[in-house]
Amino acid sequence: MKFIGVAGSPGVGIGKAVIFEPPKLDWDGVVYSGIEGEKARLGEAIAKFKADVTELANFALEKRGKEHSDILKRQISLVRDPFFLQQINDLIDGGKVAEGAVNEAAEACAEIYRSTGDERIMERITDVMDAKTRLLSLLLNVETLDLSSLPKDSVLIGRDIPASAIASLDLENLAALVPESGGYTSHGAIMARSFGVPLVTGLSGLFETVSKGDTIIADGSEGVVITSPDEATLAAYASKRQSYLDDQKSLNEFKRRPTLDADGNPRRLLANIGGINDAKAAKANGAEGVGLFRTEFLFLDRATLPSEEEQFRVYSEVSAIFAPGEVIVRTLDAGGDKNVPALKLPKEDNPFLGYRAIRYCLAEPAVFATQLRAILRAGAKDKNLRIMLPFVTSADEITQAKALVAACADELRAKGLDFDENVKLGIMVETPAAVLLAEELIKIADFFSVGTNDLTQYTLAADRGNAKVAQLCSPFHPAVLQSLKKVIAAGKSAGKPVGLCGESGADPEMIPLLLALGLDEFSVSPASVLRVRREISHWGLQRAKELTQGALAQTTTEAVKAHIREALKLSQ
Amino acid sequence: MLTYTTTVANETGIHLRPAGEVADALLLLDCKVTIMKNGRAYDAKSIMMITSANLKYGQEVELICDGPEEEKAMALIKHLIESQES
Repeated sequence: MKFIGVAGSPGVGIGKAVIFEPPKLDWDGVVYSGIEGEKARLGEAIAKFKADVTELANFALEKRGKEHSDILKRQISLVRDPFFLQQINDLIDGGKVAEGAVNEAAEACAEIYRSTGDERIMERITDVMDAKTRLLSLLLNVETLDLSSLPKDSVLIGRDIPASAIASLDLENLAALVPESGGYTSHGAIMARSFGVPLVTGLSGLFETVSKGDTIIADGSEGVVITSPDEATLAAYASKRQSYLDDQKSLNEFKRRPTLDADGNPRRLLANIGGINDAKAAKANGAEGVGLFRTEFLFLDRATLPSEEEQFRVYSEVSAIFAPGEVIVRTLDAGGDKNVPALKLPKEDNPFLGYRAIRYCLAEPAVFATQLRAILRAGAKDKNLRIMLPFVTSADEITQAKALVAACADELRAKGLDFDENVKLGIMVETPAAVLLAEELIKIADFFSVGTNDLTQYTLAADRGNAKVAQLCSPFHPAVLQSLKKVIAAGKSAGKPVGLCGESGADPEMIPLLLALGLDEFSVSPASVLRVRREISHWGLQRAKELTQGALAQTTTEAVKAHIREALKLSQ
Repeated sequence: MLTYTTTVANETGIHLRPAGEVADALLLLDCKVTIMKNGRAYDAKSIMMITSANLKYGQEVELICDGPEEEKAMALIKHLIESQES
């Protein structure tokens, strides 16, 4: 049977089902043995708990690293917590059996976390529930499945697989993880990606039909699970698994390599990030720096704006991760499709053509200056931060922003704070106006970065989110290609770098065009870095230029794509 | 007994990870450690109690350490409340 779910961690796993079932915990039949008796049972269970979890934590620390052992250590902290223990003891004194007391005390702890309303704290509720389950299992003498040693090629299937279980998993024998409930950003999926284990989640109906030992295929790239496959399906997925592994091996070889085309000419390969976790992932994948740091994440999901100090700390951390590699910080790009409640922006009929990005920032200099000061200061040590203005349509926006940067610099100097005196300031080219004025704008900007997603949508006057017109919205449209050509040429003749930070920078059909047009910097998602580096290495300049000449001569998107596909086919 | 009045220095409040680490360390010390906020006492050896105190930036708290190892305990709890690390 085939089940369609969410692709949580790429790769293909084939193996035998191991069922992860939460233990059946029922203490209706437990008889109260008196205060002393219940407390003695509790003491024994807690001692065993500490011993078991300490062992798992040591295992996790040795095999996985600190962040995984920390998940387990937090459980030990809970069973030592004076509040938790006091609650349990009070309940036992009041006539509850140890199990009932543990259950209620754990719920009280979960309620404390819940009452904060803070998402990061509420995530810890799963720790409390995990610990509760383990402690109750010990009290009731219910076996818990030991996941730190599994049979060879195990596919672990459960309705939910708690993080503490994943932290101590036997990865050597694990073929795939299949928690029924969850999504791409659930904790288990994030951990699976860091381990390189395939994971499929967001399924329904699988758990009821599968039995221990069934043959399972879990395709974490497509989000598909197949139970008891026939020979032909099994063979097809075995070969898919092998080609995925071969591909990973080839990509890994590009991790420590410089980004060079087939002729040995260097290009800069940077990453688009939205926070510190992205920055770390991008660094681990061999990104040379950051071509687009979306700072909106600092402003979203909160009632008040982030202070200069808070921003300073985040920018400093990202600067340190990549130094001496450059980090291009895009200033606040609120409005449009990015709603920032803390700014209390009025609702607009046409937000994509409205009060957004640089327009907002220049009208609210206090908000803008806070961010600029934080960037200037965070660049003091490594001098690798750059300022990038979003959504520029005219030269005076750049002039005004530069004046504000100069005023911020004066202020910092007067306060005696360190900052980067020579910070570079560039712009996103994402409006037709910026393209048409490229030669003028590059005189006052230090660099360009083309945002192909917005540029395509504004050039073609087609909303990429509207299914009826989305097919018009292609970066291969001749008008977009001519724009790219013009912008890159303007940068070249001014001797200033031009980058591209849209999705299309990672598209294998677009890469030869960008190479031929002379793009200096590719900025792509952290997960695409190695693939783009490998793709660039395949292209010699002569061949890329021939293909591009032909592509630019076409008059429709379809003809451009057909031309590129034909050329790619011939060159294979 | 040592007492000390201060304010929460971190703009984003007290974070769970450092609070957990400090609570774990305090457990090893022979000393009672209390955070007083708005007349209510919270046991600083309990991450649950620290969380339920819901300490926010700029709030005034009184730290009370009482026991043979009160100096060490005070240093730890002061660090937690006055740290600006996020």
